Amino acid sequence: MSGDTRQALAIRAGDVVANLLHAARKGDVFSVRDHGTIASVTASQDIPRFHKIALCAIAADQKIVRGGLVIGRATGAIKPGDWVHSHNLESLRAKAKSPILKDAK
Amino acid sequence: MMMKDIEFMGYRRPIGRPGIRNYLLVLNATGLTQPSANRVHGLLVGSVLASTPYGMGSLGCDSEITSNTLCGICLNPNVGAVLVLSADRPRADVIGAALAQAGKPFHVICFDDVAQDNLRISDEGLRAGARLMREISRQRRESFGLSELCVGLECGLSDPTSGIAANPLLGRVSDRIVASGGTSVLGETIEWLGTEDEFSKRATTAQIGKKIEQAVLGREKMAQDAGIDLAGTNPNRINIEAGLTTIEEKASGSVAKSGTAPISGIIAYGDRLDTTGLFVMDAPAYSPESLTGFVAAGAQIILFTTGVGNSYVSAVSPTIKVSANPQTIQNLPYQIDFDCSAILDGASQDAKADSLLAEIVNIADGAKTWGEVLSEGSESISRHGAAL
Repeated sequence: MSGDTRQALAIRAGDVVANLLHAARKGDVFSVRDHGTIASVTASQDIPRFHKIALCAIAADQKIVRGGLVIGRATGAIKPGDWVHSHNLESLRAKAKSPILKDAK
Repeated sequence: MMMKDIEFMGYRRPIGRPGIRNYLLVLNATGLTQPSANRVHGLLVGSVLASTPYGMGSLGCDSEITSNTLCGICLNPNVGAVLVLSADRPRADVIGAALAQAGKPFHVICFDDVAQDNLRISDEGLRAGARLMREISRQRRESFGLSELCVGLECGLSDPTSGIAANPLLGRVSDRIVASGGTSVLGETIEWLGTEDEFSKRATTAQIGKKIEQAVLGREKMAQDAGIDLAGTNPNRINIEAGLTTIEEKASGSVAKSGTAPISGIIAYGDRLDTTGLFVMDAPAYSPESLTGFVAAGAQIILFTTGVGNSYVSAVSPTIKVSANPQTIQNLPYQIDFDCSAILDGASQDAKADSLLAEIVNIADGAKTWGEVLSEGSESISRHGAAL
């Protein structure tokens, strides 16, 4: 499969992550659909199919936005092309023993 | 396809929407009568079974919701007649009254009718069920418009393709059905978590919007009070392995099933949906319980997206399995009814929505889903209280 046919799907401009439509090997280049401003991204590591790739640098604790919605918080610094998943993305909601709802808004 | 011209062939009922199936329902209301209900259901090929094993063990509001849900299942338009088996006479009387009011043929047998004899209840149940089944088989289908459809919208064992393609596709179909005067309903409250600001703004009144928000926050609080951390629970291990990381991410994909129509109201689990429009149901996310909620609300048909694969369907309401994951389509040719993976390659969502709507009409007319053919269906009533 040539580099041209590998696609990542964003939802809208401003998204910092996109979903890979094909599995990534480190170094693979993906064209990004539906983002508007970011047109391509290079995988910095192997990433499974349909998982998320960072489209730009994300700071630790930064809220991660996709499709205009906050989907969680970065638990460490993330580089463009990194795999974004449970190891570096954490939910802001429904945490047992947390003060109710203060973290959520 | 002009939506106003779309018709399906259904079974007219004395009150309410038409059915797309004409089942004898064996309705079992208690644990004691469950083996007998299983026997009768097994002998009456083509009947469907809805059963609760908890019966008299269900107390307080759990008992009320169970009763309401059992009535709702009986009143579902796909049910032509009901055989009620119960060890609890008052529960059976409530169900019988609801069926009488709806003008639906039924027969009730309680354990005390047969002096607690489980073999007699099986025998009399078989005879009564057979009479009902033969009687209702004489009814013929008539033509109805899309406005008479009530569609349940569900997702199960989701992966990122669910949120990207399959759920938005359901949203388009839902919008068309609602625009035609029909009804659609979406549940799985915990899976609105993170979207509730936007979601509640779509309500037709501020009061409904507030109730939607309260339903979501209430469900979140339920988890916290129970000491349940959603991380690892929802999304679950399978969702996570497939690429969904947080509940907020899963929710943004999940609510896409609702399309863009305004939300006309919020119903509780077990409540009936007697009006038209897009509704939400405050209910558990677990698919078996969720689908039974749709059945009790009156949905004749259910659209169920899956990412990695999920064979569960309703027994009473034909459930169309939809997936956008090409690997899943390839792995599960005897499970997935509708392949929308072409959307990932850029195929037109509108064209796919037309196709899915056409398939809905086919299934409504009598074509069977994989779940029906393979008898994968069941009903599961959610519990809402403690056992004592």
